[in-house]
Amino acid sequence: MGDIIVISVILFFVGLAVRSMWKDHKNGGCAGCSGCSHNCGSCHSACRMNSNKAKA
Amino acid sequence: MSIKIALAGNPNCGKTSLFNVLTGSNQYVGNWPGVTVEKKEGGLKGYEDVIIQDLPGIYSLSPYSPEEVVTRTYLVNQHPDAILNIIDGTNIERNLYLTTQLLDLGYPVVIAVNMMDLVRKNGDNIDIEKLSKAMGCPVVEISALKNEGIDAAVEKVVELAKNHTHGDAPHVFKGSVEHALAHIEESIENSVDKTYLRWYAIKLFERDEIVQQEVNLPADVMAHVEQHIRDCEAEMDDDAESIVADSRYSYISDVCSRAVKKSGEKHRVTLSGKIDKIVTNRVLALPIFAGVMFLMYAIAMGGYSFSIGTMGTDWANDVLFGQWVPTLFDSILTSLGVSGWLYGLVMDGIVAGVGAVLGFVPQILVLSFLLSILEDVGYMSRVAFIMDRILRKFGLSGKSIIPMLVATGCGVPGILASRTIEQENDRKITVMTTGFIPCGAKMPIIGLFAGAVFGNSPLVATSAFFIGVMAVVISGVILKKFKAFAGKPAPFVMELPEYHLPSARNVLRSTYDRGMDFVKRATTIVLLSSIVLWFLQGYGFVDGAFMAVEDPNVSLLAAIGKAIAWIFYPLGWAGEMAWKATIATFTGLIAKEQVVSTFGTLYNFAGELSEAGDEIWAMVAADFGPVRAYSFMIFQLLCAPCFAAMGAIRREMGNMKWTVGTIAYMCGFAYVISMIVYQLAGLMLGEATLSVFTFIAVAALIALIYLVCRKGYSPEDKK
Repeated sequence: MGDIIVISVILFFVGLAVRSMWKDHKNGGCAGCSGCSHNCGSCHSACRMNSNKAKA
Repeated sequence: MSIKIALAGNPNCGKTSLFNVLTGSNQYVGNWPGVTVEKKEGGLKGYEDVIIQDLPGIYSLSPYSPEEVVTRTYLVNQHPDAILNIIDGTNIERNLYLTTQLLDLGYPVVIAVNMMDLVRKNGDNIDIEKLSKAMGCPVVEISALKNEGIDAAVEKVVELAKNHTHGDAPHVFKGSVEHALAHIEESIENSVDKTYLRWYAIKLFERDEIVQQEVNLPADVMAHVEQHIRDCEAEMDDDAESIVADSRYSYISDVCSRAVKKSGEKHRVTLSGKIDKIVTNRVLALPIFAGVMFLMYAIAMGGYSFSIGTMGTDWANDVLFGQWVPTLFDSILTSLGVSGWLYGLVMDGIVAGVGAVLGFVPQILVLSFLLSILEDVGYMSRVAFIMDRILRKFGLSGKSIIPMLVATGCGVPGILASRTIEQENDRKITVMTTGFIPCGAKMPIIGLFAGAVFGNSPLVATSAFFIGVMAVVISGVILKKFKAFAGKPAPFVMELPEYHLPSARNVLRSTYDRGMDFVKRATTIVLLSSIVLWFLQGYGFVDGAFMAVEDPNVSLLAAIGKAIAWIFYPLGWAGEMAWKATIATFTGLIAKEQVVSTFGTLYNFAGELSEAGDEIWAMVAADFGPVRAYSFMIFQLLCAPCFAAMGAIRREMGNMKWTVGTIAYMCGFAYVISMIVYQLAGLMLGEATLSVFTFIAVAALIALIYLVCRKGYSPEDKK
């Protein structure tokens, strides 16, 4: 029973970590970046904009 | 439909500070020009459907650098409903140059004269009524830093935006210029949006290539326009661009003589000027800078009685993550009666790995706090000025300084900030070298070795920063001599802001942001990596069977590490520590904090942790002698950055060839410097023995000196 509880807690936190990193990625930020997620966001949006322009 | 209000102004006039106040957002505010390189959007607090757009700072609507293009493109093509033009009240003449251009666009404009607190402090006076009348638009006094006058400015600009009302543009041009402009307006009135007729006419008069291409006039019309320009140039005996600039400055000078009263004698020296005479002095500037950095690292990472960062980290390592957290987890896991492997995963993997990184949070917070203060008072702008002088001597662009300063927080925005450099060769050099500056994620590595091996010597931490700076300079000098990077450095003009007391809000916000991002990385990417590392270290093949192993030296991780550890043998990574150092280096590519986390997992795995918990760093220190530790630290500081920074390099370089080249250069440079340090310093201090690698290190040193001193490629010589 103890194993199940601890594994569940670990999986919960791993899930939160993955979700947080995925959300950062989707919002244009990056998990590997301290203090700059806003700048990353701007850059990513600019990249997407350029990419969309190129597609068009 | 929402109302769009653009914040426009010169670099470092306080746009982002105002944007944060207006929108309640949390954008990074830096006390130097070029912090905003992309436009940012936010809803205006207290108003529905009003969007505020923070634009990168520009000096004019004739764009030269990429971020200036962003602003101009937005203003000309996105049609904001109104412009809130922020001008620096302490430097009103230069700021009004852009204002005259914004007014030409025909949008409703409100001028917000910022830094009025400093204007008053200097004893100066700006007659708002006269200024408003002369510029033909409302003028409001504000102080974004002290949150004064902002409501009035907002009310005024929203009102103008809703009513689409704007005054008459000031009569900047006279005589033959106005005559030529009138003719150009007539010639193009059917080719452009009539709202911007005046602006297009002026730009065509200036022979602005972007506008010429956009308007795409028939050849005969273009010839007619050109004839008017030439006639005007002949009459004024100057080129069209200079005529326009002179006219604007003459008008501004006239307006300021009527509306601005400067107190005291004409050339009075302000307090900032007096301080600058000392801190930017040719002889004293560098020693003062070194002293400031030493003091900062001494407070954050030193071993003195005032080193509060070290005290906090010692407590976090010894007590919080050395006793309290392990004891708590131990009692929980024991009471739950979990299996041995699960106990190991939590204690030796997660607690050891994440705890090793989180233990350095106090030092990171103190360092970020001190850096934020230096930045907010205006000292870091002076650092840019000092460094520019040094870089220019070596033929490098001073514009590389801003990315370097930004990179002290994180390499990613540092690399992105390189886009403010117009010349492609200089921009590439900056992208290739910005990663050498120790970012926040590398601080735990510095803290670990400075603390564990060098008795918390602040000299080690300070030297780490200056090694990064030296690596930038040496690399710049070497690269600049190759044909691909040759050319005159880009001119660097930077306004030095007035010194002011640091804003508690800015400093605390910046410290909090950096600290929280560090914690976030420790609890996300480091947590996941710790679990993977624990698995790889806890399992392996014994007699052909895959099973849990007691001895980490026979684990999967050890097998991987030992297979590639030979690469680093010339750097002194030998014996027991070789595979551990190799693994830490490769995991550091995920995130640089992972280097320390890896040591936490690897050294804690044997379960020999003392009650105080600090034995782990003593074990690291025992495996690394002083020279080996210093050489290892240098390699970690200079080698390829984390994946996020590599992604930024890829984006800024624009192709894989340059990206791979940059990463290879960084790794190669780190390898050579680290090898020279270990082999030569180790030989002198008795830590290394004479071997073939000693001679290779000497040859590498001679090659490095040759590359620095040789006469490189010069386009002038070619001609």
